[in-house]
Amino acid sequence: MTTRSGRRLLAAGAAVGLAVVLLTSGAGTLAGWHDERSAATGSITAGSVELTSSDAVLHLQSRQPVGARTFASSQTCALASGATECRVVTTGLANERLIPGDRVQIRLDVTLTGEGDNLAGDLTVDAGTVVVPGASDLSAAATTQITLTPPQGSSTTVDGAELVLPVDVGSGHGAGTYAVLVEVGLPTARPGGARWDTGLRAQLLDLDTLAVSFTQK
Amino acid sequence: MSETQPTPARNKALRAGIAVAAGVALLAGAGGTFARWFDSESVETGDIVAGELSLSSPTNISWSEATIGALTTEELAAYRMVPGDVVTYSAMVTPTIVGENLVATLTAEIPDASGALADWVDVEASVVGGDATLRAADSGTAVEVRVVIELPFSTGGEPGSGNGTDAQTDELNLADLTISLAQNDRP
Repeated sequence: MTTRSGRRLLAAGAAVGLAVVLLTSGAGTLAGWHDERSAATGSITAGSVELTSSDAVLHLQSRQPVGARTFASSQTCALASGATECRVVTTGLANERLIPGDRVQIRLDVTLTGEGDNLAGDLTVDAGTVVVPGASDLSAAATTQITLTPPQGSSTTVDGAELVLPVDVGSGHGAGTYAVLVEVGLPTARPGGARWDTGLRAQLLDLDTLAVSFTQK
Repeated sequence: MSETQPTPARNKALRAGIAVAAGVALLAGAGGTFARWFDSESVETGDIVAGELSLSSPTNISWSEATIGALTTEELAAYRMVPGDVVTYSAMVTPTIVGENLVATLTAEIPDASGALADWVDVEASVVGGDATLRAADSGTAVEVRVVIELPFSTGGEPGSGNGTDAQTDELNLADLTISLAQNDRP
Protein backbone atom coordinates (compact mmCIF):
# COMPACT_ATOMS: atom_id res chain seq x y z
CA MET A 1 0.00 0.00 0.00
CA THR A 2 1.43 3.46 -0.97
CA THR A 3 1.58 5.93 1.91
CA ARG A 4 1.22 9.71 1.53
CA SER A 5 4.93 10.32 2.11
CA GLY A 6 5.70 7.57 -0.36
CA ARG A 7 3.64 9.31 -2.97
CA ARG A 8 5.50 12.61 -2.30
CA LEU A 9 8.87 10.96 -2.87
CA LEU A 10 7.58 9.41 -6.03
CA ALA A 11 6.35 12.79 -7.29
CA ALA A 12 9.66 14.50 -6.46
CA GLY A 13 11.56 11.79 -8.22
CA ALA A 14 9.42 12.17 -11.27
CA ALA A 15 10.01 15.95 -11.26
CA VAL A 16 13.78 15.55 -11.07
CA GLY A 17 13.61 13.01 -13.82
CA LEU A 18 11.72 15.42 -16.00
CA ALA A 19 14.21 18.23 -15.32
CA VAL A 20 17.11 16.01 -16.29
CA VAL A 21 15.32 15.06 -19.44
CA LEU A 22 14.68 18.72 -20.23
CA LEU A 23 18.32 19.68 -19.66
CA THR A 24 19.76 16.89 -21.67
CA SER A 25 17.38 16.74 -24.54
CA GLY A 26 17.28 20.42 -25.40
CA ALA A 27 19.47 22.23 -27.97
CA GLY A 28 21.66 23.87 -25.33
CA THR A 29 24.66 22.43 -23.55
CA LEU A 30 26.44 23.27 -20.34
CA ALA A 31 29.69 24.31 -22.13
CA GLY A 32 30.61 27.89 -22.98
CA TRP A 33 30.55 29.24 -26.48
CA HIS A 34 33.27 28.37 -28.93
CA ASP A 35 34.03 29.09 -32.55
CA GLU A 36 36.85 27.80 -34.68
CA ARG A 37 38.33 28.39 -38.09
CA SER A 38 40.79 26.34 -40.05
CA ALA A 39 43.27 27.73 -42.52
CA ALA A 40 45.26 25.81 -45.07
CA THR A 41 48.97 26.58 -44.90
CA GLY A 42 51.40 25.13 -47.41
CA SER A 43 54.63 23.32 -48.12
CA ILE A 44 58.26 24.35 -47.96
CA THR A 45 61.20 22.64 -49.60
CA ALA A 46 64.72 22.75 -48.27
CA GLY A 47 67.57 23.86 -50.46
CA SER A 48 70.82 22.03 -50.98
CA VAL A 49 74.51 22.50 -51.52
CA GLU A 50 77.09 20.21 -53.04
CA LEU A 51 80.76 20.49 -53.76
CA THR A 52 82.44 18.15 -56.18
CA SER A 53 86.00 18.14 -57.42
CA SER A 54 88.00 16.81 -60.26
CA ASP A 55 91.09 14.71 -59.70
CA ALA A 56 94.11 16.79 -58.88
CA VAL A 57 96.79 17.28 -61.53
CA LEU A 58 100.41 17.95 -60.46
CA HIS A 59 102.84 20.03 -62.49
CA LEU A 60 106.50 20.52 -61.79
CA GLN A 61 107.65 23.97 -62.86
CA SER A 62 111.41 24.33 -63.20
CA ARG A 63 113.45 27.53 -63.23
CA GLN A 64 116.63 25.79 -64.30
CA PRO A 65 117.98 26.52 -67.73
CA VAL A 66 116.40 24.29 -70.33
CA GLY A 67 118.28 21.04 -70.60
CA ALA A 68 120.21 21.59 -67.38
CA ARG A 69 118.28 18.89 -65.56
CA THR A 70 116.42 15.69 -66.23
CA PHE A 71 112.84 14.72 -65.52
CA ALA A 72 111.31 11.32 -65.02
CA SER A 73 108.16 12.57 -66.68
CA SER A 74 108.17 13.35 -70.36
CA GLN A 75 104.71 14.90 -70.44
CA THR A 76 105.08 18.63 -70.77
CA CYS A 77 102.67 21.27 -69.58
CA ALA A 78 102.06 25.01 -69.79
CA LEU A 79 104.80 27.13 -68.31
CA ALA A 80 104.07 29.25 -65.29
CA SER A 81 105.44 32.76 -65.01
CA GLY A 82 109.23 32.57 -64.59
CA ALA A 83 109.40 28.85 -65.38
CA THR A 84 111.59 27.37 -68.07
CA GLU A 85 110.26 23.83 -68.20
CA CYS A 86 107.12 22.07 -67.01
CA ARG A 87 106.30 18.41 -66.56
CA VAL A 88 103.12 16.66 -65.58
CA VAL A 89 103.96 14.66 -62.48
CA THR A 90 100.52 13.64 -61.26
CA THR A 91 101.40 10.00 -60.91
CA GLY A 92 105.16 10.28 -60.71
CA LEU A 93 106.14 13.08 -58.39
CA ALA A 94 108.03 10.63 -56.22
CA ASN A 95 110.18 9.80 -59.23
CA GLU A 96 111.35 13.37 -59.73
CA ARG A 97 114.32 15.00 -58.08
CA LEU A 98 113.55 18.49 -56.92
CA ILE A 99 115.88 21.47 -57.12
CA PRO A 100 115.69 24.71 -55.14
CA GLY A 101 113.51 27.13 -57.05
CA ASP A 102 111.15 24.40 -58.29
CA ARG A 103 107.47 24.86 -57.85
CA VAL A 104 105.01 21.98 -57.55
CA GLN A 105 101.56 22.97 -58.72
CA ILE A 106 98.47 21.16 -57.57
CA ARG A 107 95.58 21.95 -59.91
CA LEU A 108 91.99 20.89 -59.61
CA ASP A 109 88.52 22.16 -60.38
CA VAL A 110 85.81 22.24 -57.76
CA THR A 111 82.19 22.71 -58.72
CA LEU A 112 79.77 24.28 -56.29
CA THR A 113 76.08 23.69 -56.86
CA GLY A 114 73.27 24.68 -54.59
CA GLU A 115 69.75 25.89 -54.14
CA GLY A 116 68.62 28.28 -51.47
CA ASP A 117 67.48 31.86 -51.60
CA ASN A 118 69.65 32.69 -48.60
CA LEU A 119 72.43 30.23 -49.30
CA ALA A 120 75.75 31.95 -48.76
CA GLY A 121 78.98 30.82 -47.20
CA ASP A 122 82.71 30.49 -47.42
CA LEU A 123 84.52 28.46 -50.01
CA THR A 124 87.72 27.46 -48.25
CA VAL A 125 90.86 26.01 -49.75
CA ASP A 126 92.83 24.51 -46.91
CA ALA A 127 96.38 23.62 -47.87
CA GLY A 128 97.54 23.48 -44.29
CA THR A 129 98.22 19.78 -44.52
CA VAL A 130 99.50 19.69 -48.08
CA VAL A 131 103.03 20.10 -46.85
CA VAL A 132 103.97 18.31 -43.67
CA PRO A 133 106.46 20.71 -42.12
CA GLY A 134 108.06 18.23 -39.78
CA ALA A 135 108.86 15.73 -42.49
CA SER A 136 112.15 17.34 -43.49
CA ASP A 137 114.05 20.58 -43.76
CA LEU A 138 112.76 20.79 -47.30
CA SER A 139 109.17 20.45 -46.18
CA ALA A 140 109.73 22.93 -43.40
CA ALA A 141 111.14 25.47 -45.85
CA ALA A 142 108.47 24.99 -48.51
CA THR A 143 106.15 27.88 -49.20
CA THR A 144 102.51 27.66 -50.17
CA GLN A 145 100.54 29.97 -52.40
CA ILE A 146 96.87 29.48 -53.29
CA THR A 147 95.03 30.95 -56.27
CA LEU A 148 91.28 30.56 -56.66
CA THR A 149 89.55 31.52 -59.88
CA PRO A 150 85.76 31.76 -59.58
CA PRO A 151 83.25 31.05 -62.38
CA GLN A 152 82.81 34.76 -62.78
CA GLY A 153 85.20 37.51 -61.83
CA SER A 154 88.91 37.69 -61.20
CA SER A 155 91.23 35.34 -59.38
CA THR A 156 92.23 35.66 -55.77
CA THR A 157 95.73 34.74 -54.63
CA VAL A 158 97.05 34.42 -51.11
CA ASP A 159 100.45 33.49 -49.75
CA GLY A 160 99.71 30.97 -47.05
CA ALA A 161 98.00 27.73 -46.38
CA GLU A 162 94.38 28.87 -46.48
CA LEU A 163 92.21 30.88 -48.81
CA VAL A 164 88.67 31.80 -47.86
CA LEU A 165 86.36 33.22 -50.49
CA PRO A 166 82.84 34.33 -49.50
CA VAL A 167 80.29 33.17 -52.06
CA ASP A 168 76.60 33.84 -52.37
CA VAL A 169 74.83 30.96 -54.08
CA GLY A 170 71.42 32.46 -53.49
CA SER A 171 72.25 35.52 -55.55
CA GLY A 172 73.10 33.32 -58.51
CA HIS A 173 76.76 34.32 -58.58
CA GLY A 174 78.36 31.71 -56.37
CA ALA A 175 77.53 28.47 -58.10
CA GLY A 176 79.80 27.09 -60.77
CA THR A 177 83.29 25.70 -61.27
CA TYR A 178 86.25 27.18 -59.44
CA ALA A 179 89.82 26.59 -60.53
CA VAL A 180 92.05 25.82 -57.57
CA LEU A 181 95.81 26.19 -57.86
CA VAL A 182 98.08 25.43 -54.95
CA GLU A 183 101.75 26.06 -55.55
CA VAL A 184 104.36 24.60 -53.26
CA GLY A 185 107.59 26.49 -53.72
CA LEU A 186 111.02 25.28 -52.83
CA PRO A 187 113.05 28.31 -51.81
CA THR A 188 116.52 28.78 -53.16
CA ALA A 189 117.86 29.37 -49.68
CA ARG A 190 117.21 28.07 -46.21
CA PRO A 191 114.94 30.04 -43.96
CA GLY A 192 117.10 32.94 -42.79
CA GLY A 193 118.92 33.19 -46.10
CA ALA A 194 121.69 30.59 -45.69
CA ARG A 195 122.54 28.53 -48.74
CA TRP A 196 121.23 25.03 -48.96
CA ASP A 197 124.55 23.65 -50.06
CA THR A 198 124.08 19.92 -49.71
CA GLY A 199 121.30 20.24 -47.16
CA LEU A 200 118.59 19.33 -49.64
CA ARG A 201 120.01 16.11 -50.76
CA ALA A 202 117.77 13.13 -50.10
CA GLN A 203 115.29 15.40 -48.39
CA LEU A 204 111.68 14.41 -48.80
CA LEU A 205 108.88 16.81 -49.69
CA ASP A 206 105.93 15.17 -48.04
CA LEU A 207 102.65 16.22 -49.65
CA ASP A 208 99.42 15.29 -47.97
CA THR A 209 95.82 16.30 -48.26
CA LEU A 210 94.37 19.38 -49.91
CA ALA A 211 90.89 20.17 -48.62
CA VAL A 212 88.27 22.33 -50.29
CA SER A 213 85.02 22.96 -48.49
CA PHE A 214 81.94 25.12 -48.53
CA THR A 215 80.56 26.18 -45.19
CA GLN A 216 77.28 28.01 -44.96
CA LYS A 217 77.28 31.13 -42.85
CA MET B 1 -60.68 1.68 -6.59
CA SER B 2 -59.01 2.46 -3.30
CA GLU B 3 -55.48 4.09 -3.14
CA THR B 4 -52.70 2.06 -1.69
CA GLN B 5 -51.43 3.51 1.60
CA PRO B 6 -47.70 3.29 2.35
CA THR B 7 -46.69 1.29 5.30
CA PRO B 8 -44.67 3.03 8.10
CA ALA B 9 -41.46 1.32 6.96
CA ARG B 10 -41.79 2.46 3.40
CA ASN B 11 -42.57 5.98 4.69
CA LYS B 12 -39.20 6.21 6.45
CA ALA B 13 -37.28 5.14 3.33
CA LEU B 14 -39.13 7.61 1.19
CA ARG B 15 -38.30 10.51 3.53
CA ALA B 16 -34.61 9.62 3.55
CA GLY B 17 -34.57 9.58 -0.21
CA ILE B 18 -36.18 13.00 -0.35
CA ALA B 19 -33.68 14.38 2.18
CA VAL B 20 -30.66 13.22 0.15
CA ALA B 21 -32.12 14.59 -2.98
CA ALA B 22 -32.74 17.91 -1.32
CA GLY B 23 -29.20 18.01 -0.03
CA VAL B 24 -27.74 17.41 -3.43
CA ALA B 25 -30.05 19.99 -4.86
CA LEU B 26 -28.92 22.54 -2.29
CA LEU B 27 -25.28 21.86 -2.91
CA ALA B 28 -25.61 21.87 -6.64
CA GLY B 29 -28.00 24.68 -7.14
CA ALA B 30 -26.95 27.29 -4.59
CA GLY B 31 -24.10 28.89 -6.75
CA GLY B 32 -21.09 27.93 -4.48
CA THR B 33 -18.04 25.75 -5.45
CA PHE B 34 -15.41 23.74 -3.66
CA ALA B 35 -12.41 25.83 -5.15
CA ARG B 36 -10.62 28.63 -3.30
CA TRP B 37 -10.72 32.17 -4.49
CA PHE B 38 -8.60 32.97 -7.52
CA ASP B 39 -7.69 36.03 -9.57
CA SER B 40 -4.96 36.77 -12.16
CA GLU B 41 -3.50 39.74 -13.99
CA SER B 42 -1.06 39.80 -16.93
CA VAL B 43 2.09 41.99 -16.57
CA GLU B 44 4.34 42.83 -19.47
CA THR B 45 8.05 41.89 -18.99
CA GLY B 46 10.49 42.14 -21.88
CA ASP B 47 12.75 40.34 -24.34
CA ILE B 48 16.25 38.99 -23.78
CA VAL B 49 18.57 38.46 -26.67
CA ALA B 50 21.55 36.14 -26.41
CA GLY B 51 24.99 37.46 -27.21
CA GLU B 52 27.29 36.25 -29.93
CA LEU B 53 30.72 34.70 -30.16
CA SER B 54 32.12 33.99 -33.58
CA LEU B 55 35.30 34.18 -35.58
CA SER B 56 35.75 35.23 -39.16
CA SER B 57 37.54 33.10 -41.69
CA PRO B 58 41.22 34.02 -41.97
CA THR B 59 41.98 36.87 -44.34
CA ASN B 60 45.10 38.69 -45.56
CA ILE B 61 47.06 35.45 -45.64
CA SER B 62 50.69 36.07 -46.43
CA TRP B 63 54.11 34.45 -46.32
CA SER B 64 57.47 36.00 -45.65
CA GLU B 65 61.04 35.08 -44.88
CA ALA B 66 63.11 37.08 -42.44
CA THR B 67 65.85 37.98 -44.90
CA ILE B 68 63.98 37.93 -48.18
CA GLY B 69 60.76 39.64 -47.11
CA ALA B 70 57.34 38.89 -48.56
CA LEU B 71 56.86 35.75 -50.64
CA THR B 72 54.01 35.23 -53.06
CA THR B 73 52.51 31.78 -53.41
CA GLU B 74 54.57 31.23 -56.54
CA GLU B 75 57.71 32.49 -54.83
CA LEU B 76 57.08 30.21 -51.87
CA ALA B 77 56.83 27.23 -54.20
CA ALA B 78 60.18 28.14 -55.74
CA TYR B 79 61.77 29.11 -52.43
CA ARG B 80 64.39 26.76 -51.02
CA MET B 81 64.93 26.86 -47.28
CA VAL B 82 68.43 26.72 -45.83
CA PRO B 83 69.68 26.52 -42.23
CA GLY B 84 69.08 29.79 -40.45
CA ASP B 85 65.96 30.66 -42.44
CA VAL B 86 62.81 31.73 -40.63
CA VAL B 87 59.58 31.61 -42.62
CA THR B 88 56.40 33.19 -41.30
CA TYR B 89 52.82 32.47 -42.31
CA SER B 90 50.48 35.26 -41.28
CA ALA B 91 46.69 35.61 -41.31
CA MET B 92 44.14 37.97 -39.81
CA VAL B 93 40.99 36.82 -38.03
CA THR B 94 38.24 39.06 -36.71
CA PRO B 95 36.26 38.09 -33.60
CA THR B 96 32.65 39.01 -33.01
CA ILE B 97 31.98 39.26 -29.29
CA VAL B 98 28.59 40.45 -28.09
CA GLY B 99 27.69 40.07 -24.43
CA GLU B 100 28.45 42.17 -21.38
CA ASN B 101 29.90 39.22 -19.52
CA LEU B 102 31.44 37.47 -22.49
CA VAL B 103 35.19 36.96 -22.20
CA ALA B 104 36.92 34.65 -24.62
CA THR B 105 40.42 33.51 -25.47
CA LEU B 106 41.81 33.36 -28.99
CA THR B 107 44.34 30.61 -29.62
CA ALA B 108 46.14 29.24 -32.64
CA GLU B 109 47.35 25.69 -32.96
CA ILE B 110 48.91 23.64 -35.71
CA PRO B 111 49.35 19.87 -35.64
CA ASP B 112 52.69 18.29 -36.42
CA ALA B 113 53.82 18.76 -39.98
CA SER B 114 54.67 15.87 -42.25
CA GLY B 115 57.54 15.37 -44.67
CA ALA B 116 61.18 14.61 -44.03
CA LEU B 117 62.00 18.27 -43.36
CA ALA B 118 59.60 18.16 -40.39
CA ASP B 119 62.30 16.33 -38.43
CA TRP B 120 64.56 19.36 -38.66
CA VAL B 121 62.39 22.44 -38.40
CA ASP B 122 60.70 24.13 -35.48
CA VAL B 123 57.07 25.01 -36.20
CA GLU B 124 55.09 27.19 -33.82
CA ALA B 125 51.63 28.69 -34.17
CA SER B 126 50.70 31.71 -32.10
CA VAL B 127 48.45 34.69 -31.70
CA VAL B 128 50.54 37.81 -32.07
CA GLY B 129 50.99 39.22 -28.61
CA GLY B 130 50.29 35.88 -26.95
CA ASP B 131 46.98 34.09 -26.52
CA ALA B 132 44.53 36.96 -26.55
CA THR B 133 41.85 37.49 -23.93
CA LEU B 134 39.11 39.31 -25.80
CA ARG B 135 35.98 41.13 -24.70
CA ALA B 136 33.13 42.94 -26.36
CA ALA B 137 35.37 45.98 -26.79
CA ASP B 138 37.62 43.89 -29.00
CA SER B 139 34.80 42.80 -31.25
CA GLY B 140 35.44 43.64 -34.86
CA THR B 141 39.16 44.26 -34.40
CA ALA B 142 41.30 41.96 -36.50
CA VAL B 143 43.95 39.92 -34.72
CA GLU B 144 47.04 38.46 -36.39
CA VAL B 145 47.87 34.78 -36.07
CA ARG B 146 51.17 33.36 -37.21
CA VAL B 147 52.97 30.15 -37.91
CA VAL B 148 56.74 30.50 -37.66
CA ILE B 149 58.88 27.85 -39.29
CA GLU B 150 62.58 27.86 -38.50
CA LEU B 151 65.31 25.63 -39.81
CA PRO B 152 67.95 26.02 -37.10
CA PHE B 153 71.39 27.03 -38.28
CA SER B 154 72.89 24.34 -36.09
CA THR B 155 71.36 21.30 -34.52
CA GLY B 156 74.18 20.90 -32.08
CA GLY B 157 76.31 18.36 -33.85
CA GLU B 158 80.07 18.27 -33.89
CA PRO B 159 81.55 21.72 -33.26
CA GLY B 160 82.11 23.39 -36.58
CA SER B 161 80.41 20.64 -38.50
CA GLY B 162 77.12 22.50 -38.81
CA ASN B 163 74.36 20.38 -40.23
CA GLY B 164 76.50 18.68 -42.82
CA THR B 165 74.16 17.85 -45.65
CA ASP B 166 71.23 16.95 -43.41
CA ALA B 167 67.73 17.89 -44.58
CA GLN B 168 68.82 18.98 -48.02
CA THR B 169 66.00 18.92 -50.61
CA ASP B 170 63.62 17.58 -47.93
CA GLU B 171 60.03 18.81 -48.01
CA LEU B 172 57.85 20.13 -45.23
CA ASN B 173 54.09 19.77 -45.52
CA LEU B 174 52.41 21.95 -42.94
CA ALA B 175 49.09 20.92 -41.44
CA ASP B 176 46.09 23.22 -41.40
CA LEU B 177 46.19 25.98 -38.83
CA THR B 178 43.33 25.94 -36.32
CA ILE B 179 42.26 29.22 -34.78
CA SER B 180 39.87 28.94 -31.85
CA LEU B 181 37.85 31.50 -29.97
CA ALA B 182 36.51 29.93 -26.78
CA GLN B 183 34.51 31.53 -23.99
CA ASN B 184 36.41 31.64 -20.73
CA ASP B 185 35.08 29.77 -17.73
CA ARG B 186 32.80 31.83 -15.52
CA PRO B 187 34.20 32.45 -12.05
